[in-house]
Amino acid sequence: MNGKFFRMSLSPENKNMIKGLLFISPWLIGFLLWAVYPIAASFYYSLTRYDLINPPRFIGLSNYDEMFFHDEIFGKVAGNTIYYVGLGVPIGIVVAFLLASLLNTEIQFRSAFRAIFFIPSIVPAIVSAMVWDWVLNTQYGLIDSLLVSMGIKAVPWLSSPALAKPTLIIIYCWAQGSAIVIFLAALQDVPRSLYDAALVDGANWRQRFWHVTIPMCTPSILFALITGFIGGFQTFTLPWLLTEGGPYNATEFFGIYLYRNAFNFMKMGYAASLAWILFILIVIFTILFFRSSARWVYYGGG
Amino acid sequence: MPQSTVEQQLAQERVRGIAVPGWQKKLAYWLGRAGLYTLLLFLSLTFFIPFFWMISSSLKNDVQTYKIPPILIPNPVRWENYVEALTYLPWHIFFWNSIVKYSVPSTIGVLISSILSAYGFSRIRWRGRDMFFFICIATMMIPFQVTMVPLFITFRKLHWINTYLPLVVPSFFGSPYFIFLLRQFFLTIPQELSDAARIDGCSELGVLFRIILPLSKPALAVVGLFQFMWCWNDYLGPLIYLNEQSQFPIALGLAALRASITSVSRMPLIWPYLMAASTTVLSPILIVFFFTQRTFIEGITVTGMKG
Amino acid sequence: MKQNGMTRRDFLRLSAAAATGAVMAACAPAAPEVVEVEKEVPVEKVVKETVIVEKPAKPAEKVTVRYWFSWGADLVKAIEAMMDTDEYKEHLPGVKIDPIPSIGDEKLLTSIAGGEPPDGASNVHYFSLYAKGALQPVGEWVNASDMINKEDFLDATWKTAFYEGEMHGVPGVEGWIRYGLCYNAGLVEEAGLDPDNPPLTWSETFEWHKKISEFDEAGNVRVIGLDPYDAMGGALGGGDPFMVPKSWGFQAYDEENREFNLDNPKMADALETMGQFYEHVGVDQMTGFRESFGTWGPSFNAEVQAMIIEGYWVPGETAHEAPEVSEKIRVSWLPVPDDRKGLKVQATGGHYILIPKGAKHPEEMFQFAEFLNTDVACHIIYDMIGWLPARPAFLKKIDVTKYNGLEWYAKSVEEADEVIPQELNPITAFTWKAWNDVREKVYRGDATREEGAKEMQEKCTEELQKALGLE
Repeated sequence: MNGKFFRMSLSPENKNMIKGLLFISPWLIGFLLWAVYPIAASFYYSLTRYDLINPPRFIGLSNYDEMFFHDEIFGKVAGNTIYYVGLGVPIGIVVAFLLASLLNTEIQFRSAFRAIFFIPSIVPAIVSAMVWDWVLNTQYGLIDSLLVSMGIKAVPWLSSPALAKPTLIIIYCWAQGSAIVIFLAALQDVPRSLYDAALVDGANWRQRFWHVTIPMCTPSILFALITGFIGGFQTFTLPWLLTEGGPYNATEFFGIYLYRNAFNFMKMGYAASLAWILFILIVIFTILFFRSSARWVYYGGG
Repeated sequence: MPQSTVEQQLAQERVRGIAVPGWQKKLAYWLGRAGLYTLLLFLSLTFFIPFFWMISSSLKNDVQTYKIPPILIPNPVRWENYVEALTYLPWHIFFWNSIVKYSVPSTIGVLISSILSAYGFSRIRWRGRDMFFFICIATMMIPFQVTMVPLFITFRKLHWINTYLPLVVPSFFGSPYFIFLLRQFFLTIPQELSDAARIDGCSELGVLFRIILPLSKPALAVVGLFQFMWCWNDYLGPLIYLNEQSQFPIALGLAALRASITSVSRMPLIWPYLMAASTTVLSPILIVFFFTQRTFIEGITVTGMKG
Repeated sequence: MKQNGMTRRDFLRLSAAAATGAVMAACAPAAPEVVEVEKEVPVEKVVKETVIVEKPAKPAEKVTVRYWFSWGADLVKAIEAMMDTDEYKEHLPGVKIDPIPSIGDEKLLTSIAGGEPPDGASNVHYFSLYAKGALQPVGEWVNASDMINKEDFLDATWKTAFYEGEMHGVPGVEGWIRYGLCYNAGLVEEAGLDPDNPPLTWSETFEWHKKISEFDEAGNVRVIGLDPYDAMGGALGGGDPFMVPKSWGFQAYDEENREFNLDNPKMADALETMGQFYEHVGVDQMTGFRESFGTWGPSFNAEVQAMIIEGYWVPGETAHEAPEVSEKIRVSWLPVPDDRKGLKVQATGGHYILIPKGAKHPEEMFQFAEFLNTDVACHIIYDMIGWLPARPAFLKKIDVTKYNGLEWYAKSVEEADEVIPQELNPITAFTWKAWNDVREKVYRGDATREEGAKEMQEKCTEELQKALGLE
């Protein structure tokens, strides 16, 4: 293609398109390098056995066969992840929404309270892990040593398979700061006139909460649900540092199992197949949320 | 729900235009206020307890650390924990790495690339823009772990293991999250401003630098702040790519402190040390937060609302 | 004394095999499929070159040798002390060792795969690394060395230095005696037991455990007797999960036929016997206790755990870390099942220095490995940490009464009925995790002991097949 032809064929529309593409090229190249290529490569590696030292060996769908039909731990991992995401994310949203509603009342020092509820969400995960590990330590932790001194049996927060996941969910709720901020903004955006109208119709506070407040906040709730699910599926740092997947694999979540296979067992192929399943799961869930959103999310006026 | 009592009162008064200040109503109002503040204080305390325990433990000696019932406010206070914990491992290197090798370059990278991309997505009209933008938003869905394995294999072939390149280079290719944030902001700037500049012979880059960026300082601050904080907090990325302690950022340094103390030295001051190091790692974040609270909150609100 | 280890003849046979190592490697079962593209450094070449030189020329300029290990900062300090000695400066002029602590298998493997490995590594899963073909063979260097003589070491040392006839590990740092039931005489006496009459069998040990363990009225643990899975009992992250075969008397892994032998009544009995301790304390409580204190000694040092199964290094380490506890240390034989009562079982074997493929300064690393085996280096390690090499000549030179409890270990080699070399297999990391999962399944009541043993066998066999590409 010579310069003359190039110049001649450029309509203003094409010129803008080239400009646009040039401007977005950092993202576009990044998209190809850090998203398209790895996802495709991941699929290739998922069909191999690869320990990084010896070259990858093609083994067809064996990794998927192993995952779904032979790997007992994978079943547990899937169960744990669904438990954590399915319970943790909605509970986190409810907690954040209630706290935001509380902050939305006419109170003094709102920004101070908001700061206190918000701060846990910007604490580095590693610091949360250290601090909670020490708060929940069954021998000398704050809570259990108080219980022991009162002659009560210590609670095995992170060392009982039954309690480990609920404990992690509690920590998850503690760090819902950004959701609180988002909900608070949404609550403040609800037009006063709607409440006034509801009052005129004789609605009590419960009815107003259910029929005005919540519907008006559904877009934010949808957003929190989706980001919560995506984040929940990849949970790694906190359980990795607190329980390393234990006790009895009760906190062996998808992210941990994937990491373990890739970097502890050097099973890159198997890890890649886990990654693919994770990706598909997230895509399916996101689509389901968006599909269902037409039925329950209220987009005021368009 | 305490919210209701207050709001109902106020709302009713507003609607009916009549205030009925009977003593019962007044009492109910003040009881409601009292209940509301008690609840808020109680919840705030609950949220604050882990921090309190962290700071308190960081100042204890070994005897105080293992006392039952727990000592809440240590006396005497052992400040040496901070010195000892931070010299037990080379923390000055961890801080240097976190700031100079990771946070700063990666923040610069993300700013440059996201500004350019966001400009392309907002200030120029072109065919296919919305489709590309949709794809860009959709990539926010891709979890780190999905691309982790093949990217690791690639970076290994490039001999980038044990360097910060795998962590920093990708940020020079934009982050969908920030592109989205900046695009939303750029869209609020009147189009006439750039059109006028173009007529005056400004190139697109000129428009970007002379018109758009000076008006976007708050949004840029949000991007810079968030990216810096994410790098500061990042654990999994460094965990995968960095091997030697001399390359560790603070997150790995803290993990190494825990590992080295528990596995070998077994010293009774392990918890005070860990809490002292945790406090040190956390405090810059808190200080930055207190000074930039509004930026933080607005940043989260913008991305959260329109997503 | 019956020595289960290697005879001198075995050693010579293995050394001879090492000479044909290159040929053997080419004929190894997995080799034909290997596409050579990925191999970074032609290892044989490096080795041959150095062999011709016989003793590699001393480098003139400053060289920094990176040495990784998963031990902690104590060894770093010891190595720094070594570098200050005249002997070091004479042996390795212009060479600086950069000791990097707390770094394990994952990082080592990825660094080898990434082509930027350290020059040497220790305290990792040796056999997995041998089997992956990630290391440079060292047989010819060891043969040529006038500082490392095979006869100087306990025979058991050599057995796990070889894989498929090729020597991959240079013995060093520490590697003496691996088992003993250490107990805190103070806590034992407090429980009304006689510290001079320690338990010999698992059922006697369990009796001690029950008497020593203390709970408050609410049922919270104050002191436990023994966590049989702590430390050498099979703690994840640094122990030999195969204490069981030594105590119960069977071979867990047969390298010649590449077979695990884990599905047997002895294994099942072990799962049951050791699980009792957890059931007695309460499984969740024991787990919480473990998480609070960690494994490998903090609870023993804090005097809330009275017994621990550990090797000869405990007297020295405890003396440095908790001197007041060190005075109360007593040691007895590894408990055995009732039908083997009175049998004295001991095992030797220890650590190696590995030189990964692609190392930048393999010769200097090997020279440092030589230096680690000099008396000077061994004295520094002994004094600063309490570790000892598996070299009888050196062991004669030291004062074993320096650390309370060490004398027992020193004598145990002579007194033992069986001295077994440590057992390694090519999938150690996996077997550790599997052992952890299976035993938890059994003591939590989700599998019978027989099912546990069977599962362990199946899991390990399947993984071995995959790892070696045998299916």
